[in-house]
Amino acid sequence: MTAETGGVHVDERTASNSTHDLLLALAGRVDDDMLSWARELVAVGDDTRAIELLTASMVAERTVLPAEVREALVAAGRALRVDLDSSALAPASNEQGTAHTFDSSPQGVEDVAAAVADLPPRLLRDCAVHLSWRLTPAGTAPGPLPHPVVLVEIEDGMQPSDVLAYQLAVALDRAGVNASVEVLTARRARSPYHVAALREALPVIIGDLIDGPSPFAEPRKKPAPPPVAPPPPPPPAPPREEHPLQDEHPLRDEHPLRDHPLREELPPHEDLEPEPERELDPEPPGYEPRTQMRERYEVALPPEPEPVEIHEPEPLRELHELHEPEEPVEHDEPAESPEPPPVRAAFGNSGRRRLITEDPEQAEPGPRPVPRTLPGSGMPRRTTVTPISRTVLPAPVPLVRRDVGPPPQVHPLAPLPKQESAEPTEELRQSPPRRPGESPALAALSDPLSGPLDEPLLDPLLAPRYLEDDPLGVDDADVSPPTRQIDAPVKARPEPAAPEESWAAEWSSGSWAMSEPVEARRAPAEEVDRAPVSERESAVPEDEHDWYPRHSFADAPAEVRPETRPESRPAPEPDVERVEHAEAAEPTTSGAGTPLGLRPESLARLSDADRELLARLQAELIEGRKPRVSRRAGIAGKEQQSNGAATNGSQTNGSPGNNGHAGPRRANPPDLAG
Amino acid sequence: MTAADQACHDLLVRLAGRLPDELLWRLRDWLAAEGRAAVSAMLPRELLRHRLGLSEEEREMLFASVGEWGASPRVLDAVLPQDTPDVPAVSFHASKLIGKGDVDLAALSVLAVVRGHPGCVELRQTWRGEGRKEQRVVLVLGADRPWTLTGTLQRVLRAHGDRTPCVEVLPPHGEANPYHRAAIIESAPLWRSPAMTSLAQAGA
Repeated sequence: MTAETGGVHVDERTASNSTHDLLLALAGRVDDDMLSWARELVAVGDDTRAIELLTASMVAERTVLPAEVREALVAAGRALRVDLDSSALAPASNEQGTAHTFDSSPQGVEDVAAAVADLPPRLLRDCAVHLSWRLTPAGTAPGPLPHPVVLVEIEDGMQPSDVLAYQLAVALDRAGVNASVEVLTARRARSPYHVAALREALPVIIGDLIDGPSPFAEPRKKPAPPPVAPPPPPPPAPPREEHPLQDEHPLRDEHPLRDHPLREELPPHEDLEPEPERELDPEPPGYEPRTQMRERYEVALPPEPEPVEIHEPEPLRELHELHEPEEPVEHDEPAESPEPPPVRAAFGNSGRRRLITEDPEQAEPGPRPVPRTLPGSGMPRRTTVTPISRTVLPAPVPLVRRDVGPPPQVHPLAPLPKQESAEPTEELRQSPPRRPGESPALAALSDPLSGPLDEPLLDPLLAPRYLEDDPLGVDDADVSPPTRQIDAPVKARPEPAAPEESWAAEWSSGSWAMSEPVEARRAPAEEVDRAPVSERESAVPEDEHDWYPRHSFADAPAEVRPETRPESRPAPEPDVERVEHAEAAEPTTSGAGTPLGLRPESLARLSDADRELLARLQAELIEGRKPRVSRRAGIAGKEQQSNGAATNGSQTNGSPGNNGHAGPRRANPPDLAG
Repeated sequence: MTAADQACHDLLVRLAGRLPDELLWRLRDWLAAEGRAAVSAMLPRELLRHRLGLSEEEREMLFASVGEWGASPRVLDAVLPQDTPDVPAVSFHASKLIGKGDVDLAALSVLAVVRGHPGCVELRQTWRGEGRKEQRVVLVLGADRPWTLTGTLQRVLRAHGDRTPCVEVLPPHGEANPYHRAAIIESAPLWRSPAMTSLAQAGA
C-alpha cells in the first residue's frame, strides 16, 4: 500500500507516522484530553499546532521525559518552527515517569466494551481491539479514574494510525464514552505504558493480526447476523487450553462484555492457523506480551478443518448478490434441500474471513474464490453466499430509470361535444396531452418520449416565407371567407407571377422610404383594449394569428399581417418566435376536412381545454364576424377611396384606424397615394 | 512577575466566551503553574488563529504579560484590534435540570477550596448552553492571586469529569464584561463570605 503511493504521500505518511509515534510515546505523560486533541490535530494535518500544544504543556507542567522522547519532541518542534525553545523543556531523565497500573475489568465502570464493540466495522477492519482501564492519573490535570484505554492493533501500512485513532475517539465520544484510543502497529516496539495496558487488557475484537492477515484478506464480517448453523462440537483432542486472560482475572466473568453478542461471535479459535512466517519476524524487546498472547492463541487452535471444494463460480455468486442484496445469511443455509454444501462451508464453521489463506500449501487444488477486495473497500464484504443449485431466484424487477422519467401515461380524453370525430380522438389518446401555450421545443424538453426529430423545427427555418403567405393555413381550409371585405385583401395580394408590378407600385407609392408610424404599431393593441368584450374576443385571435398562432383557425381572415409585413418590415427575419408560429401554423395547411380545420397531428398536440377553446372561438368567429366585418368594411371602403391603393397592406390590415378612435391617427400614415 | 501574572489573568478572564473553552482552560492552567513561556508562546498565536481582536486595554494587558515574557514582538504586533465589543451569543441558566440538587459533589469540592482561599467574597455557579454542550461556569468574586485559584478550581472540576472547566475569578468590585454580566445575572449563589454578609447587613 505504501509502495503504491507517490513519494509525497510516502513522505506525508512517514511524517504523520513519526508524529503519531511521538504521541504514542507521550501517552501517560500528558492528560488524555491533550493527547486526544493532539491526535485530532495530527489527523487533520495540523501537526504544528499539535506539537505546539504538547510542547507548551510539557514546558508548563515541567514534565520529565526520557532522552529519546525529549529529543524527538525538540526535533519535531524545530522542524515545525515552534516558538518554544527546547531549553524551556525540563531536562531529560532516564526515569520512565509514572508507572501506570491498569485493570481489565474494574468495578463500578460503565459498559465501555459494548460501545467499543459497536464501533463501525469499517474502521476496525483487520484490527485487534483490546480494552483496559487505567487506574493512575496522567498529566497534571487528569480526569476521573479509572480511565478507559482502547488499544487497537493494526498491521503496518494498512490504515493511517493517526486518522484511525481520531475517528475511533470521535465515535466513542459520540457514544458518550470518554476513552483514550491508542492505535498500535503490529510487530513494533511498544512503550512500557502500552505493554502494561496490554497486559491487563480485555480482548474485544480479535482480528487477523493474531496469525498475520492476508494482504488480500476480506473485510471483517458484520457481527450483526448471527450464525444459523450450530457450531460443531469442539474436537475432543487436542485438549483445549484456555486463554490466560480468562483465568487471570476473577472479575472476568462479571464483566459486561461476557454476555455481549459480539463476544459470542469471537472466534473459538477454530479458524486460526499458525503463522507461517513467524520465525522470520523477530520481535522487539517490548513485544513479549504480544508473543505470549499469540502463542496461547496458537496453542488453543484446533486442527484446521478441511476446506470444501467450491463448486460455484465466482461470477454466479456475484450475480446472486446482485439480485439479493439484502438477503440475510439464513437463506443461504440449505436446511431442507439436499443441495451441495454452500460455499460458506469452505470458509469454516464460524464464517469468518479466514477463509483465504495466503499459504499455498494449505490451499486445496481446484476452484476457490479469488481473494480480492470489493470496489468500496471501506465496506465490509458480505460473506453471504448462495448455493450453487439454487433454483428459486426472484424475478428481476424492472427498475425505473431515474434519468428517463416516469413512463408515459395514457390520458383518456373526453370527446368534444360536436365537431370531434373518432379519428383525432384516437390520435390524442396515443399522444400525451399538451398544455396550452406550450411550444414544441419546450414540449420536447418535458416530454420524455419525444425525440429531437419529433417536432418539425427545421422546416420553418428553411421556409420562413411561409408565414407571410399563409400563416393561418386558410388556403387549405374549407371555410370560405364569409364577407367580401375579407376577400378584398386576398384578391389584392400581389401575385407571385408578376413581381415587377408589385415592385413598381411599391416604388411609385414611396412607402419603401417611409418608416411605419408608431400609431400603426400600437393600433392593434389599443383597438383590442377599447373594443367591447364581445368584439375583443373576436378581435384578439385576429391579431394574434400573426404573432401567437397557437390555434390555427380554418376560417381566420387571411388578410392580416402577411400583407403588411413585407412593407413595414423590409427584411423579415425568421426569429425564434416566428419560427415557432410558423411551426404551429404549418399543420393547418393540410387540415381541411378535420373537425376544427386542423390536421390530426395538430389536434393531437392540443389538450381538451385547447380544443374546447378553439371550438368556441371558431364558433364566435363565425357568428360575430359579420357586424365587425361590416364595420370594417366601411372603413376599408373609405380607405380604399381615399388612398386609392388597395395593395397597401398596412391599411387593409385594419390596424391603423378601424377602431373608431383613429381619426387623427389616420393622417399619420404616410401619403401612400404619392 | 505578579503584575504580569495579574495582567495575563485579567486578559484571560476577558477572553472568556471568545476563545474555545478547551484552549482557555489550558492557558489559565499554564499560567497557574507558572508556565509563562508556554503562555507567551501560545496565547498570541491562538489569538491570530482565531482572528480574535483585542481592545486597547486588552492589548496593553497582552504586552504587559506575554510581551514581558519573551513573546515574539512580530506576532504580538499582528494581533488584530477590536472594533466593537463582542456580544456573547450564549445563554445561561442558574440550575441544571437533572432532577438532582444544584450542589453536586464537584460544586462542594469547589466550595471547599474557595472557602479557604484568601480574599474570596462570593461563589456562584451557572450553566451555559443546553444538552450535551451544557457547561458549568463557576464564578468567584474576589481572590488573592486569582490565577492560582483558577488553576486549582479547574483541576478540581476536571477530576470530577468536567473536561473543559470554566472558572471565572473576577475582581470583587469592577465592571464586568457582557459575558460575565450575563453569567452573574443567571447564576445561583453557593457561598458568600461572612464579612461580606455582615457588610451587606450593615449597609442595609
